[in-house]
Amino acid sequence: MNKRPRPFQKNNNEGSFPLSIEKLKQKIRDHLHDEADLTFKQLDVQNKKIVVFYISHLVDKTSLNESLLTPLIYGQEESTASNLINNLPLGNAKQQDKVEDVCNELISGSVGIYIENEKQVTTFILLKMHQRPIEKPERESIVIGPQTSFTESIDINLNVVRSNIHSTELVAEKFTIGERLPTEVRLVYLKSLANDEDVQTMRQRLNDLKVDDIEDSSVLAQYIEDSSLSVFPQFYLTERVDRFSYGVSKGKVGVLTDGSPEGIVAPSTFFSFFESTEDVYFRWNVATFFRMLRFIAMFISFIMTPVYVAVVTFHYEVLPTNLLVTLGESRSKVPFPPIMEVLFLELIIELLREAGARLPTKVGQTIGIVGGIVLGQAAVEAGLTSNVLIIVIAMSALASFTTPSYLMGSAIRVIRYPLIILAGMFGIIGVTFGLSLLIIHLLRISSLGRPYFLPVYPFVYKDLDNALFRLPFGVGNKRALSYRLKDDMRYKEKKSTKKKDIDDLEG
Amino acid sequence: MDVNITIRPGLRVKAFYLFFIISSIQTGTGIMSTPRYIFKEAKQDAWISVIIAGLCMHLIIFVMFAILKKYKNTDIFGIQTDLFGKWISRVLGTIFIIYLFSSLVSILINYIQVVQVFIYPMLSPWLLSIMILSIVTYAVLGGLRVAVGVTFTFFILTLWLIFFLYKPMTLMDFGHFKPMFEATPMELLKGARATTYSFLGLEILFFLYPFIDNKKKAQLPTQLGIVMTTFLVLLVTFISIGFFGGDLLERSIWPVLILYKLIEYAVIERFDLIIVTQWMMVIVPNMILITWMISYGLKRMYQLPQKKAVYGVVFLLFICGGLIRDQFTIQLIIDYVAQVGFWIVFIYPFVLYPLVIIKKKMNKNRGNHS
Amino acid sequence: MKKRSLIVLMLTLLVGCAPPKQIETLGIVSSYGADLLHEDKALDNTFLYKQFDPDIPEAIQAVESQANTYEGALDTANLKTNYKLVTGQIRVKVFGKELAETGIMRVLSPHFKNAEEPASLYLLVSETTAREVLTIDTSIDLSKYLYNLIDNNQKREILPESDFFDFVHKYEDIGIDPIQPLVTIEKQKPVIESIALFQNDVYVDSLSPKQTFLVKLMTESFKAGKQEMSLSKQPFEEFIEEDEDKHKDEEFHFVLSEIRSKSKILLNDKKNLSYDVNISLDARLMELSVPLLIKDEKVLKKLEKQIEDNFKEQLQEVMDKTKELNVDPMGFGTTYNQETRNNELTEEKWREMYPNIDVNFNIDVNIIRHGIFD
Repeated sequence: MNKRPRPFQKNNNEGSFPLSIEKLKQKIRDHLHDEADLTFKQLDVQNKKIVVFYISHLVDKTSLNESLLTPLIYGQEESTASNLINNLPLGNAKQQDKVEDVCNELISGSVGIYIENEKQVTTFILLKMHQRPIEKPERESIVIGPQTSFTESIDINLNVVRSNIHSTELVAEKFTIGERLPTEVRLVYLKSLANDEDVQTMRQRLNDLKVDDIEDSSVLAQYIEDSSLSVFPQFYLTERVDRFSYGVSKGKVGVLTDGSPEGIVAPSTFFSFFESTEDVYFRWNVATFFRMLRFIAMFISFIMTPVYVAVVTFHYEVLPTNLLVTLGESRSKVPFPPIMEVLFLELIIELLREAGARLPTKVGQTIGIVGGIVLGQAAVEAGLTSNVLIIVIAMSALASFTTPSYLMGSAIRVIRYPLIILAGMFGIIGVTFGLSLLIIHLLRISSLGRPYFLPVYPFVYKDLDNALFRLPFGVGNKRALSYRLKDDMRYKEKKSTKKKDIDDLEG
Repeated sequence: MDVNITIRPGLRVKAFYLFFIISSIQTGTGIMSTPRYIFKEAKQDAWISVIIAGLCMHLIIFVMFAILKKYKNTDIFGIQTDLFGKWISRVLGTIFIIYLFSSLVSILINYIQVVQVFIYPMLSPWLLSIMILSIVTYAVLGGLRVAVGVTFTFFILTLWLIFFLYKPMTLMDFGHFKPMFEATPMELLKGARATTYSFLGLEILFFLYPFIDNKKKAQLPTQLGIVMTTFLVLLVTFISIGFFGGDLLERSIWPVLILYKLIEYAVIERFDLIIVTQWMMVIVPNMILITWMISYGLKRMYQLPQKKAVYGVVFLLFICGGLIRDQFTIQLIIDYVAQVGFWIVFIYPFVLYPLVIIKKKMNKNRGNHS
Repeated sequence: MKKRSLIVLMLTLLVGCAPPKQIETLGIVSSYGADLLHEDKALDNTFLYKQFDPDIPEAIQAVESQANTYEGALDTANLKTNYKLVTGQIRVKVFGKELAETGIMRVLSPHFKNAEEPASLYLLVSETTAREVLTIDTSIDLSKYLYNLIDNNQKREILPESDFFDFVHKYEDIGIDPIQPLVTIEKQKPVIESIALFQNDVYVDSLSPKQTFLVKLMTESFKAGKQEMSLSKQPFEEFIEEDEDKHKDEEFHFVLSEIRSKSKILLNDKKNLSYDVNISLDARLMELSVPLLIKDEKVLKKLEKQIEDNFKEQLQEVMDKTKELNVDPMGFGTTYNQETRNNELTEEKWREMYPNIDVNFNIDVNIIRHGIFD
């Protein structure tokens, strides 16, 4: 039906060696659409015509001269295709018998060598890497703990993951996804730990994915998620190497994508999005406190403004008299109904956040301060909003930023809007309605086939540690049971359980 | 229709959740006004009636398990088919489903009424119906596992409501219990019967049994669930008697909500409002489970697709929820549900049990002969 | 799925939202006063309400109306204000003495039907008209003032527990009558003068604060009470250092503080209606108007004995007064009802019986401390 030739369809008839050098040149040029930086270097070595060709901006010239050209020209033995592989001090040699494949190698930074009348072209990878060095994580910053983040190169990423998880059990299966622009994707997991079913599901989803190209890990995640209608992210995307390897070392499945500084960790539960690796580095009691704080913050961030709207619009009775006076006085100057007032102010906050994120860091900070202080003050003075609301909004905005995962934080901010509207229409019962719906939604969705609301439902009481709070390391010697890993024990021995008395005389 | 059914492992539910299922399905709108009805019968000894009712329920659960254990893996429909044959069992099953539907209606309209009285006198009942029913539909469409999940989560989320009863507890007057043991046994039994409406819901066991994963462990959580509901009803009855005393309790339509009304905090002055809204999270699991039961029953008996059944039930509910508004009609429906429920839920198992035993014996004899 | 959600959404929008009550559009009634209009027994009502209008400096406004019912009064009052009057925050209800004498339940009954009003609410009887109490001083928030006036005094255990629910209880229960604070106006401010005694919901007479203490002593337990007392000097002559006594007073005064008490009303004889009231009271001697030297336990015992006798005498007086009025604020009737089985006590029956009851007081006073100096 489709008569238009699809450019990425392979044409198998092309490229039958041997060829004359001129013809080869012509073919490669045609194939690469007259790439300007395509360089051919013709040599005569031991009476044989040899042509070396490469794309100059992709190739490391020093290596080219030292390791390829020098031995080639001054080499003693006869130049044949097989001798080339043996004599040149370079790994990654491949022999290609199709011009098509040769060109694919060229664009990934290879140098091709063709000896006239041979049957194959030999290629060597001499890619010049222009990479951003490993930097500190910027989007998920923490105070203590390792400070490395992924870069855009999958080689470097795999390198750091491997050096973090020093085990022969670490498997990094390779997939190529994208039919027009293929991208390398790696499925990383611990063979002896990860649940086979999870690995198989992920493998299946990656294999089944048929798209023209994937721009980023986050795009890949959206393609392979369980429920794409949901607001909630179902896979954890992280730029932190330690977070990624923490997940993998606990038996989860990781996915790395070439060209993306973020790794996917799956399956993830709702509660894991409030978990920061810092919680592991902190002492257990402090970590528990912070974890709880984050849950409370989440709750505040989506309940505060709707409740304000509900109370001010419908339920004056609920307020204690003194608070009622304060609220009433601040409301009395505002010309809009509460819901408009709240939406207006929420909009300002969102604009500030968006502007701050888009602008260069220094300008962004200024905008934040100017917006926060000046605008808020001015809005109150102009009688556009009540001063109580400023506090409420600021608090809920602040609370939404405590979520370690940026995706989850954004999801929570978005959920707030329907809740505000429900509150404005039906009062507190609307809020309860919204919350109920939300909880049921969370109960319905899954992550890589595992329930999203684990370990609360299905209730696995031993997994509450590390999900809702953190206990001392001595207490839990098991991994999360709900993922059905191959090995549940983290370490065999429990700490001695013998109770000690005060001033044990014989101890 | 097959007597025994097989359920794939992915659909099964752990026996542990029976505790939450039983105590959630039993606590609905009924508990808000139960103390009053028991008090009408047994006066200040009403709390004894609650204990009697609780003990009876333990017995009923026991009998229900005894019946169910006679079969490999079946529900009430399977048992009825086995005992009475295809047609009578269909009639009985349909009665069951009509009863379930009317109890669903009673929950919905009762809650709507409470919301209208306590929060929004002017709110349209249609609107509340839509809200509640959309939650119910959304959850039931997720299947039994989601239904159980909602039950469990909402149970945990509403548990805190109990703790706030401590305030009215401090205001109790223990003189109201005197003279103790004045009620005659007949009055006590009548009082126990008055608890029916708030204790309905045990029948879910007859529906859910095939879905239970580890059946050997199912009895304990179920009995504990009964203990939990009995405790709750006992608690509110006890506090209501202590707090209100005689005539006032008989006159209060929702004594439990008035108890909550007394609670005041620096941040929230009117607790009854919070309670009434939170109560949505109490009745929703209730309605979800019953809707599931109805849809499952229709599927079992008439091979109706469960999805269609759910939409049908919800639509009918919506109509009923919007149309029935008058306080007396609501009371009438509640009384009717309590009456019918008493026979279906509490008496029926005792009828069924001997029949099952006889049938099994007959089968055995026949087996021996041939 | 999408289609269905859309239908639900449409339906919701068709049915519409809940009717809003934005706080800035409300006149939030904080107290209510009712008096009797003489001509036609209608009610003369006063509402104090709070409104939030930046142009009106006085936050509290009063509005008056005449009607036969409470809700009717609210509607008529609504005609006189540009705010929607709502009663969800009402804290105080004041009843003029004249109205109280005809019974206040007619004004309180809407409370049973309307869930909007709060449960914690104080009821007051005013010596003057309720309107006067509520409008005497417009410079302060009188609702707050009255609420705190009662609240503080109840917390300090000067007044017995008496709020709306307490009133309704005692009104509904047979064999006990409510008591509520009675206010009057002194120096342009409402003050608590005494305690109003009700027979059912009809105001009958009042008790002085001192007698109130005794009622509270019989019915409730003190946790940190305080009471001033006077005793005759005569039995203590030998212990009083005469030189400093300049007044030729027959009595000396002292204060019992940190009173912890417990009381129990026991029905001894059901036929003859004889009661025992056992009261035990621990207290600290706080202030003495004369230099009474407490050297040993004997003095203290003597003092305790005198206090006990004094209490008995006063308690008997209170009993006589209530018997005469035929009001039972102590709830001897409920005790009777609770102790006798299968005996439906009716209102009329108890009113006949009450004047004939015989109460015997057993008081055990124990002074556990008497200060820093002897």
